[in-house]
Amino acid sequence: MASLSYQKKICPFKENKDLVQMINYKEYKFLRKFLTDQGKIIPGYVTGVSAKYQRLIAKEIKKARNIALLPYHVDPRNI
Amino acid sequence: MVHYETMYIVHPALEAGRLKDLILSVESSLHDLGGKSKAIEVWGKKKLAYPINKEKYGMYVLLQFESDGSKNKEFNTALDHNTNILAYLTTKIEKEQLLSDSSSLDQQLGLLNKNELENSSSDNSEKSDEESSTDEHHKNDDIDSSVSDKNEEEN
Repeated sequence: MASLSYQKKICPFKENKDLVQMINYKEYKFLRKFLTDQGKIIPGYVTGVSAKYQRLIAKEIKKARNIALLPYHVDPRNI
Repeated sequence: MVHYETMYIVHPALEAGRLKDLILSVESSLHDLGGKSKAIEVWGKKKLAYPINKEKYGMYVLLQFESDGSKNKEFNTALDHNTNILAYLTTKIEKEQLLSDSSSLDQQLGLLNKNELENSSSDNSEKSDEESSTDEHHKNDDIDSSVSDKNEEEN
């Protein structure tokens, strides 16, 4: 059986604990990194963020969307 | 007592004088409901991610306060009934997240006015906005690449 080789991603928040403070809806420019161009939240298995911090990120992105700092969706024709 | 913060978006058509009146009236309604305001930060005029009440821009104001939380619902309805407030968000914060209230409201509003005057006086204000936004993208790219580099090194 062929051995499955894959690159295990390391959570950036576990690497650098100072980054955890940046998970806040007021730091919407930082949170934009976890959104696609269409405004969808990128899953943790793509970005390598651990489940613990992915939950926080999702919550803060939803707060930022409520107050119009981040978009709910972007029409792909406008990108 | 618990600490909260409310971020609200004021209608962009209000001038500095009326904006100050509105901020103070929000603060006084908070006082009437038993809250104690700790810090006010005016973020200034920003482009909204999506239009609210057909407005594309809005003035962001952050108000941090201390209250027992029982009257937060009434405070939110007071914001709801104010036609000059487009949207608001009240969240619970830790004591460490309180901003140190360094500059007064007048100073903050005065700075805003200056910035707006500079922007309106320069003809290429729109172009400069675009440039700044592209710069931010570059910054984000840098952070992204550094994160991915780390991952590669580990492997």
